[in-house]
Amino acid sequence: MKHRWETTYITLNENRALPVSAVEEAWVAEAVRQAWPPVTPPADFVVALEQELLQEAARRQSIRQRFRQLAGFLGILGGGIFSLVGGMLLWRSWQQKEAEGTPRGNLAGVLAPAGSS
Amino acid sequence: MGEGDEYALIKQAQNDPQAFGELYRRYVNRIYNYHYRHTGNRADAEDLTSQTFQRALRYLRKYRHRGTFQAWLFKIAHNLMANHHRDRGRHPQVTMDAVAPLVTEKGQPGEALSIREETAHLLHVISTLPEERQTLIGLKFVEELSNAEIAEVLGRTEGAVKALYYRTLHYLREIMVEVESHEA
Repeated sequence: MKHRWETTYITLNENRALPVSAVEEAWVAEAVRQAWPPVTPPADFVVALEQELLQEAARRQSIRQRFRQLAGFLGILGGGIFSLVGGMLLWRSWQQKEAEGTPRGNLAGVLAPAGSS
Repeated sequence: MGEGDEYALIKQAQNDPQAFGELYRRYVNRIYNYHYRHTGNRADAEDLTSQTFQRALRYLRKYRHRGTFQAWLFKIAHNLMANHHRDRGRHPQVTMDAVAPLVTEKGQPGEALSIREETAHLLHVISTLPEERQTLIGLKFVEELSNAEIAEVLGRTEGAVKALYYRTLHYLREIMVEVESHEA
């Protein structure tokens, strides 16, 4: 059984406050703006920080470029090695089959008429 | 410059340092202001501004155009500022020291004084608000960010930001009405 006091009621518009008018809102806004007038940062600080940031941006750009170049080089190198190793394995496999004398790859065995041996 | 143009500039800045310089020049004053307001001193504001742009540069390639660039940048600034205050073991407080004198050209001297007192009181009340609400007020009225952008900065939903904003305004109005009734 559910007791009444277990239910939580949410009271809407608790203090029955009137909506804040646009005039009041504008007054608060104006008061705040007047209290916090814009502060201009020192010019030498702005210039020095800009130089620092541009140098940092250029450094990052250069690192990214070098990384891209390195990645490209490693990609080509890796692809080359992979092709070489793959080619060698295929050749070796073909050689093994050749040595075992399986009919595959041995045209003589395939073309010879049955019972001729 | 429109949003599309800015996105083009961001895409360019991901590969071109000079384009990042253009983004920097566009936002450096606002980011500096934000940090200055929350720290109250130039040295910390400069340090945090520098860190904000260094971090933006580091993560710019991961930037995805979901919200706006300024919201993304202010989020970085906000997180760094929170870390800064956490490391120093105190809560960020928006500084209210630099209250500019209010001058009314047409009003009576007494009227000007009353407005100034009222504003000073309002600002005192704002300074007692929780940090998140102070930040919201600053982002809304000084940086003029939209609710969606503020939501991104604070890591909340847009609906939650709207609700928090109106609760804050209601609270401020209640306090100010109370003050007026005491004075009357």
